[in-house]
Order: sequence, then structure tokens, then C-alpha cells
Amino acid sequence: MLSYLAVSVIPIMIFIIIAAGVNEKKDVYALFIEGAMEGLKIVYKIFPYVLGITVAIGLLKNTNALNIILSPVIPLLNKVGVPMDIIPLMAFRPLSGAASTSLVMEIFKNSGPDSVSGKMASVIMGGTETTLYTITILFAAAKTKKLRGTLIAGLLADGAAIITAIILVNIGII
Amino acid sequence: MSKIWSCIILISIVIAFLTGIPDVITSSVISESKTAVENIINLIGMMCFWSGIFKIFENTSLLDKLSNKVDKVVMRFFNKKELNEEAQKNMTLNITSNILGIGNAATVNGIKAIEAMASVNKSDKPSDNMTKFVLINTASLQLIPTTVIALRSLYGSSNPTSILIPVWIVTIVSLTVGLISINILNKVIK
Repeated sequence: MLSYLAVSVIPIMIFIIIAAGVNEKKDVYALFIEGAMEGLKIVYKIFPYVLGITVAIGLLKNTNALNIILSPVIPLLNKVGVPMDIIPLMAFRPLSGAASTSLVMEIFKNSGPDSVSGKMASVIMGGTETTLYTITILFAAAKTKKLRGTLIAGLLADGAAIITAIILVNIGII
Repeated sequence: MSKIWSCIILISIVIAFLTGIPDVITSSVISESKTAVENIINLIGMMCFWSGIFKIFENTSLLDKLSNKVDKVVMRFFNKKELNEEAQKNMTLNITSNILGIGNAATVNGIKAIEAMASVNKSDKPSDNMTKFVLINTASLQLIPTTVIALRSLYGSSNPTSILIPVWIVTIVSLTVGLISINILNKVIK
């Protein structure tokens, strides 16, 4: 039922929007083309920023740098109930959507989606965003290179989200 | 941003040399640049499509009806005096598409909203409104996390949607922590 509802959102939205436009006698097709052109300009403008961040995060991932930096705290995390395979996901979730999706798939494949790690991975993935990517793209559009407190606040929020997800699974809420 | 970006790259290169794999840097630059192009190519179609659909949306009376509802909840977090009509309109669309889980539409509307906010911002630093808006976008407002649910059923979960309520709790916690932090940090980092 719920998954049927989820897959219906997009078709219903498209239907309502176009039907409303037709009903109000707007030139729906011309508006669509105008909007699509704006979309194209946006993609063109954000590409250099996407490139910069993808390469930087790719280096961090492929050189194993993040795991090496994190290695001193791993035993501590295990002690407080964080499974081993969740740790890379914790580190990569705010940085890269693609890397965290593949980590989640790996956890599902090895331990199953209904295992403790599988549940934690699901909740972390569903309840958080790729913070660094979002900040990069939106500030790119604003043409500002100063972030003020956004990255710190975003990472604190992610930290809180991840801790909450781990606690919720450990106390057996799902 | 500049500091973070250089730090990530410099640390990666140093670690690659320390662990004896400098070749990984070169091959990663090549493969990750390709990934960036692939990602953006995958995005173009959907971004343009949603940008087009939302252009129709903006020009119908649906937007005003929706704004009335969303504004009551959302705009209390922002300094409304500093937001022009263009910014408010796109913020409404951005938050709606985030909640509905149409990520590409949220990106397009978010970019238009922050451009509108930046156009009235005289400083070279982001305004309080801009930092709060970006922060809300870094939280996952999506009501139904469709991708994770699909992945769970793909890997044979007995109850793929069991994560819904925990996901909502997590979202509320992270949004609260984020908004409190950004309000404090906005006072500290001017």
C-alpha cells in the first residue's frame, strides 16, 4: 500500500500541474520549454563545482585516507554498539551519495537488510542527505565562497542523525 | 570551501605516498572526472524536465494555494523582510519537492531560491537566511525514502517499509540539531 503510494507521487504531481495549467488556459508547452531551458543553464553552471567535489571525495575514498584517519577511534565505536561495517558509511554519508549508496548495498548483500547493520544503514541512508554536495551546489549558485557556519551545523545535524539511528536500532525500535 | 577542498586533496595525496600507492591518485583523477561527467549527464534530462514542469506550476494558482500553507510553517524560521517574492516562491517549491522526494526538482528550485536571496545580499558572505535555507536542504525532508525502500526489497527484506518511523524520528532530530546549531553559529561567525 505504502509503496504504491510512493510510486504514485510523481505521476499524480505531473498530472495535477499540467491539468491546472490547461484549466487556467496557460501556454503549457511554452512554459515547459522555458523552464527546461533554465534547467539546462543551471546544470551548465554547477558542473565545475560538481567536478571539483567529486574528484576530491574520490581521492579521499580511493586512497583509503578516511579509514586511516578514523582507525584510532574504531575500537571505541565498536564498544558503544556501532557494528564494524557501519563505520565507513558514517564517514561517507555526508560526503558522497554514490559512495554511501554502494556501501549500503554492500551491507545489504553481506548481512541482509533486516540485520542490525542493515537496519542501521537503511535508517541512516533514509534520514540524512549528502550534506557537502548540497552545500557545494547551493553556494555555487549563490556565488559565495564563504560558508559561515553551514558545514559545521550540517555535520552536527548528520552526527545527531547517525547517533539517533544507531540508538533506535540498538534499543530495538525496528 | 577553498580550505576544505585543498585539505581533502592534499591529505589524500600525502596518504597515498605514505601507503605507497601514488598511482592511485592519477587513476582516481581520471576515473572520478569521468564519474562527474556521467553524473551530470544523468542529471541533465531530469533536471530540465522538472524545471519545465515546475515552470508550469509557478504560473498556475496552485502555487499560491501551496505557498499559503507552506509559508505558515516554513517562513517563521526566516527573516521575511529580506526575502523577495522570487525567493519565497522558489523556497516553497524547493521544500515541497524535498518533502515529496523529487530530488532533481528540489535542486533546481533550491538554486533559483538561493540566487534570488543572493541578489539582495550586499555582503560577500551568505546572509542568515541563506545559511538557514542551505541547512534545511542538508536535512532529508523526504517523507518516503523511496530509494532505500526499493533497495531493501531488492535485497529481500521481509518488511522494507519498517524503517519509516525511525527515519522520521532521525529527520526531526537532525533538523532540530541543525537549526539550533546554525542559529548559534550565525551569531558567532559573522
